[in-house]
Amino acid sequence: MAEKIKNDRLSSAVCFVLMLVMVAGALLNGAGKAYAQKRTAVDQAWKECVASVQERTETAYNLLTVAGRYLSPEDADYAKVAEDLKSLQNAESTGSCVSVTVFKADATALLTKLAAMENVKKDSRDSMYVTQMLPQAVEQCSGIEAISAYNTAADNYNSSLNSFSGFLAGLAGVTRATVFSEN
Amino acid sequence: MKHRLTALLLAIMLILSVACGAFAVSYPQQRGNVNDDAAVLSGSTVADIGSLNTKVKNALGLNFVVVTRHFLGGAEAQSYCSGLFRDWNLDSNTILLLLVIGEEKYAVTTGSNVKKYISDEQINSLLSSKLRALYIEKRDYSGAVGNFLLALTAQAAATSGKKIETGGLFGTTAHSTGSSGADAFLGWTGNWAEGFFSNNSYDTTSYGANTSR
Repeated sequence: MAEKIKNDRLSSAVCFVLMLVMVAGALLNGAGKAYAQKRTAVDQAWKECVASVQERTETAYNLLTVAGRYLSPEDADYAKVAEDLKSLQNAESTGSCVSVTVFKADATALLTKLAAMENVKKDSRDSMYVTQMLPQAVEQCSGIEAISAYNTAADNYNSSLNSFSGFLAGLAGVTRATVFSEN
Repeated sequence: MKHRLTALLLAIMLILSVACGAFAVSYPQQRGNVNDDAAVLSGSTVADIGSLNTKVKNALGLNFVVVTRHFLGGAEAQSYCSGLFRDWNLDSNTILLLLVIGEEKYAVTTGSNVKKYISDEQINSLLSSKLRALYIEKRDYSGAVGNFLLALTAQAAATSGKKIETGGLFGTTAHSTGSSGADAFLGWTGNWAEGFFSNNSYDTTSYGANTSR
């Protein structure tokens, strides 16, 4: 009789523990799923942020391709844009890059120098690049809006992780979003 | 535990897919056999490429696709050309020629069946002897394309033992600078984004041909 009661209690305890595990699993699963959905919005904003950085990166590369035919890498204006390009290329790993304002100023200075060079003026192709196509590309470079939108989404997401459900989501493997910076 | 592992794996896959998406190479839409995004080819050259394509297709089953871009934004020309070949689902009989005008680079990617008629070494040789000087030094882009495609056709026809009549094609531009040359840039009023942006990979560029499949 005592043995039966002991076994029943053991079974009840096992069932209780199993129930707790299942409830905890359901909570973690639910929290993880909820935050995965929130994360999708952040990831979408990140894609736009990346596209904005990519636009600047390609413009810097194309500008340096043309400038490289006329100026040495030691030229001060060339070197500034080259430094900007390096910053943009490393943006995803460092979480920061040169700002649109600084890039536009550096690119415009280089374009102005190129446009004034006699051998550029004599070259109809490069003259078109330097006076028309590249200035338009530089002017069209955006970034502040996309990066601000991403940082806002990332901040909101990170703040929501400070709640109890966020704590549970953290246990389920959900991580915080990195905030991007321009300098 | 299994569910959590599954959830963890799914999360890793989601992160990877998002990360891959961020670096995805984007290519323009294909518009027939001539995709002159840099607008450097003359109208007659575009028409002649179409005529030559029909003749070569009928005789040998081969197909030419020509692409021009102003810049690749740091992408390597040969990688971009091969990527374009795959992205456009070009078949094993296709020869894809890419000219990157602002970077003064070019690349060719061919399908596996093309090797029956012309090897990569022969294509590289033709690029050096028939395209490079007109393209880089004279900036006669129409002439360079015409000269290269005619030579390539002649080589492939010789290998197959078939005769392909190409008289009159590219006749007005093959060895002279015309409206498609350097002066094509004077009074440029095009869309600055056409042929300007490409993808996000950065490495060095080499000239030449390679086989895609």
